[in-house]
Amino acid sequence: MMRRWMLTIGWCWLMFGMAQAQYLSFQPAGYLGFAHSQGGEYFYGGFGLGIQYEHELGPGRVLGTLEYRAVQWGNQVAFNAGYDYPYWTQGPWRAGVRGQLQMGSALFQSGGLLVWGAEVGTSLQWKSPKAFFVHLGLGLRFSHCPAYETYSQIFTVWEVPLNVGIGFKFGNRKG
Amino acid sequence: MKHHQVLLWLGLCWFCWSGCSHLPENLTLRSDVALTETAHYISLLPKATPVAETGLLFYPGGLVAPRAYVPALQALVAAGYPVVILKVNGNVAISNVGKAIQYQGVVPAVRRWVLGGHSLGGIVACRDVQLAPDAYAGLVLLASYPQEVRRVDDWDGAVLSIWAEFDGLITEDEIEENKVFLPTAQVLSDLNQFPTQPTGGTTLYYEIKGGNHAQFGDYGTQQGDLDATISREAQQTLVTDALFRFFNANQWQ
Repeated sequence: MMRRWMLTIGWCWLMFGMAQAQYLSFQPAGYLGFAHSQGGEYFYGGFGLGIQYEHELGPGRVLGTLEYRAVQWGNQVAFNAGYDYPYWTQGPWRAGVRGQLQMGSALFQSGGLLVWGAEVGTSLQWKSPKAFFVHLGLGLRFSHCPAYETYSQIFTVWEVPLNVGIGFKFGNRKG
Repeated sequence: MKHHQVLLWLGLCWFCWSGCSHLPENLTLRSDVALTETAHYISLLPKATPVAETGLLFYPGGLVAPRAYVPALQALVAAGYPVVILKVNGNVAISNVGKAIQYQGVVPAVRRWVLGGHSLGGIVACRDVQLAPDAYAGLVLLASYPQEVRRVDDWDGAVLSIWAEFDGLITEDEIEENKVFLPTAQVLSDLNQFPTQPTGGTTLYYEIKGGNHAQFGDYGTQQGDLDATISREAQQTLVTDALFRFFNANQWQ
């Protein structure tokens, strides 16, 4: 029943959205860490892959990202939801500020551990005359895995995510 | 659900499952050992004895949280030998080949480093020795061996290879087949056979009777492993004893 409801809502959202522009992109990312629960320190936080869906709403875009990445506590899978507000557009270029909240699971054999986080950042997109676009993102992210405190002194990290993506636009092709 | 959807879901599940690490189990730290953790490593230093001039840099096994090796190595630390357990991206050591040499300055009192690793960590340790043979005095392999591309058979450092009788992941046959990629073999049937002279250019092989793969660390059981007939504590005590004898033979104080 739950699955049917989710599929129905998803389908309605997609159909409603077909009247508006939607974007799907594949975004490899690198995470440069600069602080954690033990203090400040430079470290490479890991590599990740994300599939991001963007849907125009109001002046900006609603974001939804499914993300898999290496992190201090191993690997994690998470869903990010947020909003991107444009502050500059010119021709095929678009720059925006974005805020996202994250909820996910650190991956362990004995069962996942809850992970949550928040990110603010900026994005730059260049759209080709066709439906394809290139994305560059830079942000500031906080990630926290509360239950990992039992296993490590580092269970919170502050990082600068850098992602470069390629995607395509669908739905309403205008704009 | 159509076949391709099933395959997609199975693929996603496999992708996530294959990234699942083992959490450490026993987190009891001895009172005479100081633990410091950074984003790059976990360092263990003795509190009650002076820091020795020889230290151990250690790569964890694949998908094992680094802290799972603290209980197994802390007896060595309590005797004075500092240990630095390296953290690796995604808990997979192969993603950080060459990391160990960057952290030789972590304990300024240490003048010589022995590099070690469990399972996949041991393979990466072999690669590090191959890349910088003069940077290490010794190599310790726990349930591990180098393949041909990581061969170090012409290295003049001292090597200790310890494996377990009931290891379901690294078999005795594999250890045997890959002996050619390590320095000259010397098989020890028990701890009393450890040499008392330096062992540079030699690989000492020591089998732990009754042990298995996962008991080299403290992270529970591992899929594909066999049942051990000795306790985890007993296996780790034998490892510690072998390490002491190896260090003493090479006069690494």
